[in-house]
Amino acid sequence: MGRWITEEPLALEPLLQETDDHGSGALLVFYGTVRNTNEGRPVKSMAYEAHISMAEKVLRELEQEVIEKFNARHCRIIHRIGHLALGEPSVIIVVRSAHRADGYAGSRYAIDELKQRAPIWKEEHYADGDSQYLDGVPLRKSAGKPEQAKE
Amino acid sequence: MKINVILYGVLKQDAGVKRHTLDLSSDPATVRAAVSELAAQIPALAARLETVAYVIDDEIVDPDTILHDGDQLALLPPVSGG
Repeated sequence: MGRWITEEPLALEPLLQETDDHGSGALLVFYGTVRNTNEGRPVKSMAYEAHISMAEKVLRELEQEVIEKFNARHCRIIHRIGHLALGEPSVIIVVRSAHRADGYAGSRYAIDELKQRAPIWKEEHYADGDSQYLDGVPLRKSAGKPEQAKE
Repeated sequence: MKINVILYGVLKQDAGVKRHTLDLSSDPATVRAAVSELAAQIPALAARLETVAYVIDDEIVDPDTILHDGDQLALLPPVSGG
């Protein structure tokens, strides 16, 4: 655990340093953050868990796919597990590319694929004290046509 | 033959355990046979097993995959990362 999956609060700066590149004219940063409602129900916090070794392998593969499929120069993905407060980032995706179109497309691909291929689960904790795992989507094995993202 | 089943997410919640050891009488036994035995031993899981992915050594495997003594079979419910 560490490079792709971590229990520590996520930090953007190390990812920017790691991918620093003057050959890239575009830098795309995506944050996924804990939202305060889901389907109208007030959310208090979120707990994430993962099959850690497999999730790390999938995120490593996704980074490589973004580079190969979208001509990106760099891609880094990191996902947090454990208990997160509202507004905290659960995932950060950094894509650097020569031109912006590749960066936007690669970043979108990374989060869409992550949601179908990374063995990660979230359990919402509600303001009324109840909690539940979200329904999710059946785990998909490899790259294919991404389904429309739910959120 | 003994295999170790590891449960995640809602499966872990419904079963009340993270790990469960199965003693399978048939040898060789498939993943399908192990999952069937698991559903018999922990009925609370039965309804969820249709949408589960089977994973051994970080790879998704087919239900017909042959298990070996000591294998760790992870059962992964639908995912919701991001």
